[in-house]
Amino acid sequence: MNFPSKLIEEAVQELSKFPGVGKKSALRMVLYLLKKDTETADKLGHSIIRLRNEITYCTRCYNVSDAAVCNICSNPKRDNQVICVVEDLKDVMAIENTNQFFGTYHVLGGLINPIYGIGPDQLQLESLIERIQKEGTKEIIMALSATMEGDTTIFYLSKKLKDLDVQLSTISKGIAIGDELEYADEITLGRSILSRVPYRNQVQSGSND
Amino acid sequence: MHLRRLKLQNFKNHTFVEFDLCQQVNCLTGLNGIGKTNVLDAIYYLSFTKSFFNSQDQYALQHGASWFTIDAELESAAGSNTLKLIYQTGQKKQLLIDQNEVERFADYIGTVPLIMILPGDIQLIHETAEARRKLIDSVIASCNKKYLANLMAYNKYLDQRNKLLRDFANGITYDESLLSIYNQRLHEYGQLVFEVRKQVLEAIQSNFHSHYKDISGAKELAQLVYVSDLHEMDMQTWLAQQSFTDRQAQRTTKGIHKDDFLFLLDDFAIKKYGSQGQQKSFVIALKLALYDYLQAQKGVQPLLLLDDIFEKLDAQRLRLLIQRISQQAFGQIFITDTHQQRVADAFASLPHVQVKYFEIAAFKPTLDR
Ligand SMILES: Nc1ncnc2c1ncn2[C@@H]1O[C@H](COP(=O)(O)OP(=O)(O)OP(=O)(O)O)[C@@H](O)[C@H]1O
Ligand SMILES: [Mg+2]
Ligand SMILES: [Zn+2]
Repeated sequence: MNFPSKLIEEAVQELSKFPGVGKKSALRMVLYLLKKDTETADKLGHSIIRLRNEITYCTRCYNVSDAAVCNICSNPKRDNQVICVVEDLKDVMAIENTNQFFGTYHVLGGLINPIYGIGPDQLQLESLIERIQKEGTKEIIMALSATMEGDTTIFYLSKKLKDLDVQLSTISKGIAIGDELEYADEITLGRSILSRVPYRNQVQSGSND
Repeated sequence: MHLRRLKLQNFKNHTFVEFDLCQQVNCLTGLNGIGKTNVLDAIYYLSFTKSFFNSQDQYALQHGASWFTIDAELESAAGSNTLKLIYQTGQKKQLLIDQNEVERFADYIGTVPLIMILPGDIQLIHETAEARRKLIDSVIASCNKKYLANLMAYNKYLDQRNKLLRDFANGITYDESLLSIYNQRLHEYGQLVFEVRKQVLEAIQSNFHSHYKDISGAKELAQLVYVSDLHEMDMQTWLAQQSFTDRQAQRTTKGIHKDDFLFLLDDFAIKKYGSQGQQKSFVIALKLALYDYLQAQKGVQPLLLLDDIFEKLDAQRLRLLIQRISQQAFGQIFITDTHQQRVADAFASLPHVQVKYFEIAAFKPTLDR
């Protein structure tokens, strides 16, 4: 693409870095902003800058939070003995939407995936283990996607937790292999949390026939 | 099971071509380079959702075009279904059955079982083990869905384990627990794949012997031998034992990804000692044995695609094939040749075999005989 202006080119360049946004859509966004008054662009720019600079994470569950401890963790009605382990914020939102879960969360920030350069050290795994030890957690529900990376992460956690007195369960039911939690509908997801099963290490595809 | 109609648009050199196929022998003729093999590849696409020749779809796209489609009508015990494969530049390839998009190609493989015999088959003997595994795997995948899923899972875990081994070598702290997870999964999936490959090789052995004998008319003993690390000890034991070697090599040195199929004649590698003719007989016998296996597993006669056999086969091998065709040993067949007369002559003495000729030069099918 050839641009008549360096400013436009730069903006398109930056906007097209978003997942799912190509050069064409980025250009459409730029033209939209130019049509609007300067205030629109100012607001957008400021919100992006503040988002990145001021965002904080809950020191207990590592969910995004405006305070040191998030709303969920500080809610006295939530069951502190049960921790639902999820990959990221999207999963917290999806599970909250089901209105079927009243425990707390622990946000790993990803799944183990050496090919993408993500090892256990990059994730909030150590903090989870410490938290379980400190809080004497009764049950861990591993609500990770049924992909190879989810399987590996769950398996890894189960190894690390095997000497602790905590029950491990997974929400495998109803969510097909390869499905992401965020795409599961509310009813299926809610049901799968209620009907969670004790974790058993098993291969997903199974025997030949 | 057979294809009733086939339509290609912008597929390789075919801008638009349509075939009204017959249930038995369909013969595509025309000059060299006219696009006969391309039609067979389009049929292969319908079976495996990709080209036999190149796994990248853009190579099948006609020069200058931005999309291609392959349409067919499939007749089977389940009734009549339309198949449509659509490729558009920059988009995900789509496969529709009766207008419904197939979500996972792995679930579809095997809907149109097919064996293709090509002049280049002899290369199987000389290529790396990967080519031989690919052939055997494609046949097994056509009749065993779990096999394909297990094999794909194995390969994904293998990639992760290899990356982890490289990471360890590049300074990331050695993590025994994490490595053991990949070991465990490779063991589980690897063992499943191994068992099936072993079974299949045993199952095709006797038909393979007899096909070889028939085709070559000779008395050498032709053998297919399944070579795998897992014969010796199971995957988990290997991984534990090889742990040091693997860390040094920065990859997984043992496992089903190293499997091979040895082609032997009287206990000698046919690659080194076999004559051209023996090699030719060997690969055809193998493909026919795989055809038999596929047929037995699926309970239907797979499509048989014979590319250039009149050019490349000598009289004796050809006679045998034609004889089997006349005994209705196969279902729908596609044959390509440069000379229509040559094919017509070969079938002249078999009036009960239905043969339909398509002269590709004119881009229109000619009349049935
Ligand atoms: N993507 C493509 N776009 C246009 N033409 C293509 C494409 N790919 C291959 N071709 C053309 O297809 C022709 C080869 O077709 P094919 O191999 O089917 O011929 P054939 O009839 O089998 O010939 P032979 O008798 O020599 O085996 C070549 O002319 C080649 O240029
Ligand atoms: Mg050809
Ligand atoms: Zn919190």
